[in-house]
Amino acid sequence: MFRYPLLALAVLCLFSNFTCPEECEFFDFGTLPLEVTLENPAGTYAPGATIWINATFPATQTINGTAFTIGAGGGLVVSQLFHFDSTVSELTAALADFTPMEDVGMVVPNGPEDDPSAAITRFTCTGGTCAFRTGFRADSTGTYLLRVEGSALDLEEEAFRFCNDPSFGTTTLAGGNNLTATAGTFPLFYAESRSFFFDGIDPGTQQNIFLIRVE
Amino acid sequence: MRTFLFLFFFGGLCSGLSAQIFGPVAVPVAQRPEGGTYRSFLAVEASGGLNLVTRRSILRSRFEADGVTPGLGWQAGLQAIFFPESEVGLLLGFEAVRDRGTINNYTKTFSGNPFTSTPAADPIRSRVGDVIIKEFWLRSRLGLQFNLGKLRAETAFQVSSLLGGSQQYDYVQTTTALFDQFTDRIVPLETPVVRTGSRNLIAAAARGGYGGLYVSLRYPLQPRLYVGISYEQGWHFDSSAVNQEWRQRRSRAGLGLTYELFRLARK
Repeated sequence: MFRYPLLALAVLCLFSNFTCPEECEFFDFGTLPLEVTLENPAGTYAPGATIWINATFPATQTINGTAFTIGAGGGLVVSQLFHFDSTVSELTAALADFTPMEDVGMVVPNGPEDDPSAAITRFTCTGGTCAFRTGFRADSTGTYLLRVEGSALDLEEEAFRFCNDPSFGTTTLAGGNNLTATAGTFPLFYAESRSFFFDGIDPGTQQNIFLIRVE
Repeated sequence: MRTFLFLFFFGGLCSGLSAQIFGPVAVPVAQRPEGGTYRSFLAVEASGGLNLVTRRSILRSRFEADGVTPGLGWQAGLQAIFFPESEVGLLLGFEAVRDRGTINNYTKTFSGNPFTSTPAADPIRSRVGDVIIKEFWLRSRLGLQFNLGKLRAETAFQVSSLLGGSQQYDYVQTTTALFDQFTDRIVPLETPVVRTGSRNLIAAAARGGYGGLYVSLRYPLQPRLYVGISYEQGWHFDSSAVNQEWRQRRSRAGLGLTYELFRLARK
């Protein structure tokens, strides 16, 4: 008679719902592209000139097939300014050589404890569209790198399958001087940052780091 | 589709099992001898009743909740018991169960980057609300039934699988700050952003099932009609390793009537 219990057990196992879960993908950070425009690209900027960047994008985004909406709280975009010396590989923070200007969105004040290269812009979303416009007035001469990255979002409708908030993980800067125009020493390190470095720029590819000469 | 498959296989199993035990010809119902030597027989019973979720873990470990308000749901099923010439029978049962209940103040908080920063004292975003549970479960059990004089006791291993339903989560979400992932900075908002939302968590809920123990005690009201109480304790299992944080526990008490539809015995 033991074949009957075994058969029944097999049926129990058959209907035990051994399906793959579709929730929480813990290591799924997700990347969204954010295109930022450098408004006034120039070979060189005069001291006192302001370099403006802006972006306009829809509040509803899709990541890995899941749509979500950026809420009224908006989000953050981090602009980092480095002093660039093509003969050495270490970047130094250079936000102090510029004065952030806010037009659309707000520039979050940088405190003494904060990353000395980073200016944080908070953008907001209204009517299904998010936008920001931020300027950096050049106060000193030199060669600089501007790196822009989206970093945080206020989620209107958080997808439960994201264990971590998605963000704009890949940012491109349209316009401006390409870093490939320089004979820089790669990889470039920024010691203040958490393991941040970039090891070269492929010619022709879009990138989020641009060269700014102030002469 | 899963339900259809289940009915298909269950029907096949029942007919196949009966045919293998008793042969292809229907056998007339035979009353069980009183005090004499028992003959093997198969009883098929239908049951119906109410159940009460008495304990249910929160859905996910990274959430918190005040507790569960039990809800009353119905249950109905079929059970086949095979007595191989003894007082102990082998039972195989299937039941559809409606689960009701409310998880109170189900709360998720977000304090920043979970990998690099220690949780802030105050969360930068929180979501609070009740989860109203209305689920359909299929429970299948395999176990033993004991005749204890007039009483019948059952103990079984039980597997419950989620068939569908909803876990409606109506929440209030409050965002007080944004967390910059690049510089590990928390940027406070001048005014918190508060909004309401609603989600059906069933699609995102842990799949898998519950495995556990089932015990029941029945008393005959009439020769073929029993009233009984039951209790089950289940632990959630899942085939996914990344899903261990979803481990849940639940228990359920039941009250119901069971009617013996027919009895098949070998001549």
